Amino acid sequence: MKKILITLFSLVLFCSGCSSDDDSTAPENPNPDPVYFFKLAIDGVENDLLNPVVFDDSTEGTVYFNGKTVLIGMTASDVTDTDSRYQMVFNFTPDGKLLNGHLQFFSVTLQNPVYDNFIEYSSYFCQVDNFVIDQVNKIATIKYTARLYSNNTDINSYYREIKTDIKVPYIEQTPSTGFDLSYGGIEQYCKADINGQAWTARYERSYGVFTNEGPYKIEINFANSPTPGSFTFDSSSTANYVRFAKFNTSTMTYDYYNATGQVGYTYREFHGGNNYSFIGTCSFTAVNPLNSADIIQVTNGTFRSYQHY
Amino acid sequence: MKYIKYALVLVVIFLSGCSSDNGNGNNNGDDNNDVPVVVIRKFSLFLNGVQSNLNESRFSTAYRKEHSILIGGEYINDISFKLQISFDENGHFGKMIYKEQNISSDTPKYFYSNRNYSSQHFTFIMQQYDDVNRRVKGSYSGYLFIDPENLSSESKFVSGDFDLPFADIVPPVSGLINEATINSQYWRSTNRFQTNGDNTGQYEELNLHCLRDDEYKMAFTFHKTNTLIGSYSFTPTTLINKIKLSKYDLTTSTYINYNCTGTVQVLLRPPLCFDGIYSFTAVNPTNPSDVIQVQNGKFRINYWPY
Repeated sequence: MKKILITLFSLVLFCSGCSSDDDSTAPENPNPDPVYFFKLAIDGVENDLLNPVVFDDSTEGTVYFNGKTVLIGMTASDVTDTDSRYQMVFNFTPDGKLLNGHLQFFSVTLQNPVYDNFIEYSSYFCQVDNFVIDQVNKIATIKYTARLYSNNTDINSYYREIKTDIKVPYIEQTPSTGFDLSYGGIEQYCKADINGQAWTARYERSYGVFTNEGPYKIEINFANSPTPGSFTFDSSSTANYVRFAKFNTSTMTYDYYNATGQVGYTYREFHGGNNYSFIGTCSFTAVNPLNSADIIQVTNGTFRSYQHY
Repeated sequence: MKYIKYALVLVVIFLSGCSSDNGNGNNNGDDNNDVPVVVIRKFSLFLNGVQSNLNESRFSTAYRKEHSILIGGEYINDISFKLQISFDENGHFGKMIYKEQNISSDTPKYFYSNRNYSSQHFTFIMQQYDDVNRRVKGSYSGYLFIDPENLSSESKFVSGDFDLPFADIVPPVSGLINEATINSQYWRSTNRFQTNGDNTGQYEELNLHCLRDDEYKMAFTFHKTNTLIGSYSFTPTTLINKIKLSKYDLTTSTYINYNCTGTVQVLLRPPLCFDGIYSFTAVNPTNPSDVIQVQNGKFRINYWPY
């Protein structure tokens, strides 16, 4: 009897200890081993920042997502004095539109050259082949090609071509509590519906001039008056007006439309000297002067626009 | 006792039953990946016949920046700098720099390979350049001098060999090059240095000298800020925006400066660089029948701004 018991016990032990890899009781995760990579090529020099080919130097690539923007950070160190250490950052919208890119080398012999994206219509000048932010599994799959220029306002200046092909877990970040847009450290904004589509400015590179990653530009001007008011304007107005322009990728300049409508402000905030922020609204119709059928309706415009006199 | 024996037999059966699925001794096909791959890394430096401690533990990898291959450091004032050996993928020697720093002295001494017609004074042999497996192998020997222009200055005899993997480095400015055909033969510089321009006192003017390990030297004369994108014709009397070809004369140990007439076009101004194309004719000033045609020239040359 004891022999039988021992035999049975041993058989149970034997069977339970010999489960195979394809056992139906294998781990539940259907994708236990996703392949991650962070391929980067700068002017054709390729590297995988997760498995760097530069043996002695450490490199790193990371994707961050804060709900509003996707930040891709890349660095290459220079522990062996190759005079080529760099840091590079790209910011995208969650749906894959390039906001900006910046590359800086830390080179003594070349005095730390810096490269940036062409600042106008940034999303047009970045070829995005894949852009998926998987918020369930927290994985970023991103593939794009972009150019960073030595002069960010001159698309004919010397540039570096950046290609990435990325699939990595991303790092979640808390959205910044700072201003989305500011001028001289003062909060600004400009929002409107352009042909019914919500449009929000991201940049005010010179006062009263608003752009974002898209082709449109809105310029707001008010005369230096302490009295709030609402003004009718057209393309001949010399004060209290809005100008509307669209970037032309053939001529690489902005085409200014003939804008007619209303603009006004309810308050202007004094910032010292001759500097103010005008808080107001606008609605207008913009017509392409070279194509009268090209009409753009801008409605529900609200802004806080900097002015200097 | 019988039960113990019986249990032991079953334990053996249990253990043997847990062998891998394929039963061939390999748990899976990835096992080979666990075998460490031995990467050959060899570097040696002898100073005046005595082996130094600068070996492959210090220089385990060579670096390639486009056409330039480098062993050691790039920036000689970096605290970690010990030496630099540079050459191109065709085995043309660029230069060697060795830093000597005694513990008792804060000021290091730098020894350089001779700049001019360097293959006459320095033997560099590239035995293997494997672009696929990214390896480079070669040897070197010759004198290094305190003054790279003065063969009579304090010197050290160096020798050594190397067999290293190389890695590609992203250069801060890509495409640095000076290449042309000289009398229909392809020529590309592997060494460079900078002096003030030909106008005395005009410190904004630069002479950017380009050399290889042969007898030719090419000097570009540009103004840091006033040389703009454009086309410039030059003759032997032109002072700025010009190119000069010189040829080393072994009998006199000096360069013959040829009279050069031609055109240089500046096409782009990358950061701290001049970029463009050129072609010109160079005539020996003492022998008008000695004419050198320089054609299909292409350059992107960086300069030091201070």
